[in-house]
Amino acid sequence: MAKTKKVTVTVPKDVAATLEGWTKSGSIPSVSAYVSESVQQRMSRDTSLQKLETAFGRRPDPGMIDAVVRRMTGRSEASPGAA
Amino acid sequence: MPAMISGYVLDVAALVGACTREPYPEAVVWGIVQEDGVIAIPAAVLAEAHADIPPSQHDVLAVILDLPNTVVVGLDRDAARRCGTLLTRLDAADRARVSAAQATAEGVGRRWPIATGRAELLSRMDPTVDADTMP
Repeated sequence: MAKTKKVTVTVPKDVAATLEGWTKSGSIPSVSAYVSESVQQRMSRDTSLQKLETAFGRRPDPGMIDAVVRRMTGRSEASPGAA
Repeated sequence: MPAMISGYVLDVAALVGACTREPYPEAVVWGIVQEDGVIAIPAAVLAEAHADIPPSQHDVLAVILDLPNTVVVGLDRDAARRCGTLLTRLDAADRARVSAAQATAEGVGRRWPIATGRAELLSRMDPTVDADTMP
């Protein structure tokens, strides 16, 4: 198991309440495990995008990316917050 | 509730384009990764693309293949059978289009779009295919 370090993060109250509820119901093992896994997934995605930007020498056109995401997901808009 | 896994199948033109600075194929790869989707590359497509990608761009191909999102789909016994069935729908002159058949089989089987430069050929094998034609 990887070494861990305790950190304090601030989240909106409703997010904290939802996570605590999921923990109590057994949907997730713990708030820490859930947040840690989520952060690692985000870091993996951002690392991949950084590698692509280096390989391509640029970021692709945002309009084209949106079109791809809409087609792939069926959503009307791409999700915000890409690296 | 778990999110449904989504993704794209890359055909030869898309994979070659993503490695040779073509804007739309680059956006396809980027968009899939941005959404935590899966990049499905049929083995027959990879083989054909390898021949068309200049050696100077093989480092870009390596980056795409090494992404955690990327799956190279093997051409095993079952896949070969599915490809063979699709190829029977083509004229004899087109029966060697194994990479197109594998791209079609994967796209239809997964219900994912296929980024391709040969939509008409794919549609002839299966009219339900979701072909995203390279501009």
